[in-house]
Amino acid sequence: MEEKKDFQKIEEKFNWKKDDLLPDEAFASKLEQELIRQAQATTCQAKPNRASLVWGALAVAMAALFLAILIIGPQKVYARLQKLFGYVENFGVVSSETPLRVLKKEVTQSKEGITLRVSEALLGDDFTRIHYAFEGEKLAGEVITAMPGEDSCRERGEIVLSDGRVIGISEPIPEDENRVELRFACIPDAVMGKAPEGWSVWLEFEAAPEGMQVHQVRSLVTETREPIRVTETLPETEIQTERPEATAELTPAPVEEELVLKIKEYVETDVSYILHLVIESYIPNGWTLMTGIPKILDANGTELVLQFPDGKFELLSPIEPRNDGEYTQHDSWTLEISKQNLALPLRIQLESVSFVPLMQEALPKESFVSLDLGQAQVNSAFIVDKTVLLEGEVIVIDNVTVTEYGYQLSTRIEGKLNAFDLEVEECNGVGGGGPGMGWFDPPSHDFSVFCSNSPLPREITLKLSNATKRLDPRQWQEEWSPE
Amino acid sequence: MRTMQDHTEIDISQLVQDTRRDPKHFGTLYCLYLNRVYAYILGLVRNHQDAEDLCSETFITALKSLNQLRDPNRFVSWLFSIARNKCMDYFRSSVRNNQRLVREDVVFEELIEPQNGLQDKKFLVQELLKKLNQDEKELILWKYFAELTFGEIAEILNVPVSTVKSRIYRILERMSASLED
Repeated sequence: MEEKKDFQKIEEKFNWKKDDLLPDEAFASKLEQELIRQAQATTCQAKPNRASLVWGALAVAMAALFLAILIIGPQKVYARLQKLFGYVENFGVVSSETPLRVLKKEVTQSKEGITLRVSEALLGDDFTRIHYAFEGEKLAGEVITAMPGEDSCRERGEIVLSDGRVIGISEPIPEDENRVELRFACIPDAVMGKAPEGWSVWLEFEAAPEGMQVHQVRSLVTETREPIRVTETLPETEIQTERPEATAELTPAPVEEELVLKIKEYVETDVSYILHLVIESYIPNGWTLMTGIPKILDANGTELVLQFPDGKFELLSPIEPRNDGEYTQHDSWTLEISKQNLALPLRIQLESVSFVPLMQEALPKESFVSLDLGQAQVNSAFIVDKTVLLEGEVIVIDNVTVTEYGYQLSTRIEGKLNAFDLEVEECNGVGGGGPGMGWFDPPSHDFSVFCSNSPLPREITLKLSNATKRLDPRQWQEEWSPE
Repeated sequence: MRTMQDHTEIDISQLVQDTRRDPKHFGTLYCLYLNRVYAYILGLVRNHQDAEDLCSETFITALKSLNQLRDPNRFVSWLFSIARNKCMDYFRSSVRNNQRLVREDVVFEELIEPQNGLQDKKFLVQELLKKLNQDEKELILWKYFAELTFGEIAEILNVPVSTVKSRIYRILERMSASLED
């Protein structure tokens, strides 16, 4: 207690200028949008595949293939061009100063009708990549689909070295360790308590066979970073907005979008090309999303079948600051195409959609709604059904629920309005939030508003702001041939 | 409204578990910790552009790796450990590439000044702050700008709480003594 007082006494003698270290609001907003985008992608991946559930009863139900990928920064990659650096099928781009090692033989362990199978591994001086799968008819339905209140296994496996040291499944294994234990406390993503736990297999490694192919990675990065101009193609059909009449009065200023498609590097194997397609996009004050997957046509106009090989090229920073204070976004794809009957050059096409602030001249940029929630308790729900106009666009506040953390609000939007921010003015601390630009599930928006006030305010004022709209989708195209 | 106010009443551990079930909850963790993580990073690297890059990398890594966090109660120290690793990589890379800081938006020594009435001692405090090593600066940034608890700092550094307390106390004592000279 005395010590606490002493601390406080000294602390009070100084002025700690915390405000000098606050982030720029535009940056905070951009990063929030990127995280939302990535969270959406993660959510999509996390959903159980319906087809696999059906097939699960017949054959392999769940293959939790885990490819541990070491992220190698660009400088590191280029510094190591002199040593082993290349693309290994099934494992992606690898670099290593020491000779590569592989799994000596496949190993399995079975329990209650489920089998852990470790089929392949590749080890270098600073990475370990292990391909494993849990297989079995039992791995279906309720065993892999967590119900509310149930927890899924979040373990991702660990390696026990000969001296008892435990390392992560993707961490490098010392060069002199050729026999290690791979352990899983539980089966990744299975519902806890519904599948056998405590898995352990011994892995043995040996030098990679001399004939193992490490394909050369052909880097196409130029020092000048001169953007390759792309050809914009018009959509085949006019894209209709959901409610054209709702936006008929809008007079948007022309928006200059930039988008650069480029093959940053590629690998040529005996039978295919593996391309690292990079998309750089920029829109002033806005955000661009790639919709769908890229399409590649050959010189005859035939659409090629794309494979998405395991392993990736170096990851890019998702946003890169520009000199004007704005950001360039990066997206990237690893695509594999067969060389058989391939007519060059190729045409790479993709579609994007951008989001920008609404910025309707002469209209207020904020709107307010007052609500009286009475003696609100946690989980109390209120039907509101109020219509608000924000920059001329319609927003309906449907209902409010009081939560442990604050308030949950359900809203609906119309027209081209894509997103907006919502704050509760009376809340201290983090009192608001918004989906940010590029939120793809209109017409409904749910907001979680966090309120550290105790008790929660009974009368609240909702502040709606930062309206953004979705622009019409655009299509882009770039021509490419191997060197 | 992104402010670092009282979030002790929010159950972070529960929020982490919610986020594991549905990554969209990560937005809440982001709002709660953005300012604190940014303050720490900016205090260390001293220019906004690099701080923004490192802060982006920190949160994106955290979002992607949340499932690897064994104990949700340790989210805060885990998040700051990621930020710290990013900063260390940044410094290592700068040294390796012989890069020098081209722009200094923030001067560490100017982040702390004597309260009113002792402004004439500002220079002495600044001289003392200049002499702090990187570890000591980090402790100050964590405690007074990122507002971590002693326990959270101890978890990041993997040292006993008492060690963290005594280290910070010694720095404060020196700062305080400079006012009395």
